[in-house]
Amino acid sequence: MKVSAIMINTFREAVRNKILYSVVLFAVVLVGISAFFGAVSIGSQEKVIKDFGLFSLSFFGVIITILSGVSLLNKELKQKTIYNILSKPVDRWQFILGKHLGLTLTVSLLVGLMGVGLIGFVAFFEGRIDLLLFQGIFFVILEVTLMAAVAIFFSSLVVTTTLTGIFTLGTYVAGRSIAYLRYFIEAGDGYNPALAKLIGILDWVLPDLSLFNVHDVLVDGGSVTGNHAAYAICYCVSYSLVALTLAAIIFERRELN
Amino acid sequence: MATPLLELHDLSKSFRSHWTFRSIPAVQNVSLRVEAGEAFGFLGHNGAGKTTTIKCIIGLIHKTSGAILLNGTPLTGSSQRRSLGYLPEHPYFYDHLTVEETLHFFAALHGFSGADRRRRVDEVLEMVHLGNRRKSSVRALSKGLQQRVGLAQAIINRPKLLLLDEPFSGLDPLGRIEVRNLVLTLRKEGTTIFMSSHILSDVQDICDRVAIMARGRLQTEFKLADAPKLFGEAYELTLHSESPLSAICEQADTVNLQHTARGEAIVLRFEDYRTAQEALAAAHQAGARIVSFKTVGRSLEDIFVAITQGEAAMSNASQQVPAATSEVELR
Repeated sequence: MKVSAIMINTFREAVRNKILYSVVLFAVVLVGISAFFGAVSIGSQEKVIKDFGLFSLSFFGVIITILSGVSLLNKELKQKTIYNILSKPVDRWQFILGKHLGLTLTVSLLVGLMGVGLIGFVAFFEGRIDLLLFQGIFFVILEVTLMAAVAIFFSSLVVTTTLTGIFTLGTYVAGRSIAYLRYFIEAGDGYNPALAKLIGILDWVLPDLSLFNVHDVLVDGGSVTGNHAAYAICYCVSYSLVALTLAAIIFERRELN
Repeated sequence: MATPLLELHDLSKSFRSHWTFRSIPAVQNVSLRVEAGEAFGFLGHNGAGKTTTIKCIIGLIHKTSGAILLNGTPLTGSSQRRSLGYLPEHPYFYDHLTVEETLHFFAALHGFSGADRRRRVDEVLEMVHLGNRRKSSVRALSKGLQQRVGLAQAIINRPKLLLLDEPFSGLDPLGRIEVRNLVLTLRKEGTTIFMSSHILSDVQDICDRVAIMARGRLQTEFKLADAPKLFGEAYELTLHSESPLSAICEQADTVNLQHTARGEAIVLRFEDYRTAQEALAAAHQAGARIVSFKTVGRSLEDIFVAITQGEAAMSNASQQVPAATSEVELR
């Protein structure tokens, strides 16, 4: 009840935030541009539209998550609205969880809406609904769920919104790249052992966002395997839970002066 | 003796300086009891430790040492906050919510749902006279109306103990009266009130007992009804404004004489009876038009100033006070 009240309030706040709509509008324009590129490319129009469209969904999904997520706790602290909440019989972990669920719900809904737009657009070109794109949207939602937890973790740790944003964006970029670094370490044998060790640690700590990057498979007409989907879901839930637990532990100790 | 509703035992809170890492005490060994049904005023100058104490009680900051008991049980978990209501010094609300949505949100945090929640929100809106503003955005409301929303969210759970941190802060006189009347109504209904305020006249109207804090420590705690006995009384000699004030001042010991003009009258205030008598005699001799000579209780403001400024000789005057004096009309 308490968690869902905080979740709904967070969702309502985000939906009534007009700045968010400008980002969504920008994303819609970008999907439109992908359609344009698709239309002018020779032979593989639909592929370009799907590829660019899914990339836009993922990119803007994460950008919206970071923009909303980094200020989620700081705004409550700065505007002191949190005093009224935590003076009620609400545990701090419930507040953190409610905020995460609210943010995830908001971004998932936006990604879902943009995704439906993309599917409609592709259907216009292909003359049929490409069900594989639903898989792409689902993986984007998994990615934003995890990134929302990361944003809340940094939000509980760092005092300023800017630093929280930098750390979260950095984690996103590193999480997207970690699979490449791992590949280079595994493939090459001339690397500094200390560097290899460092990358090993980063590989363990940072989220492996490549798990959610299934665009290539889908664009080529392939489907994501059940095993991969199950692993990705478990990974997303586990990583998010760890990040949120750490956030709750840190936030529990925080003094609300 | 019955278990007090709220009890603080040697409550201390220190903050660590971000630069020097030194521990800075904000509240030191505060012990007090608040009985069920009473209204307790928690006074002190800015930075005395009032808000820190209240935030420790409500769990927004963690105490360094000591104990906080609610109904005899240590106040540790969030579930015990079910019976507490809290109005922060400056209540802030979500800009995106209306008055009604705000109260629904806070009611949900207390576990109200469905028809119960709607009923309770309606009740509270009527109590704070905001029924006609239920659809207004909170941010569009005046400071006074926002304070009423603040009070509404604090009482949404029918709290046994209502903690009010500067409930009159920033309010215009009308807003202050409205909030004061609301608090008085709650008090009549049996809610225990624990309030900090700088508006001492309102504290005097609302509270049964007060505690005064200074520099993080509890200086004194007393029943307002016992104030004359504890802190003595003062004397007021009221003269017509045409009276020869300088002649009176020459004869009486008027080192600490305070006088204020009230319309056509001059009011002379004395801290001890002997000086007051001398002044009265001098006024007679000088042929002044005496309007009245009376004993007056020390105002809470006098007591507050004396205690927070560390004046220990407060009760000296009371040693010379005649028994229960009342107003003496001289003409």
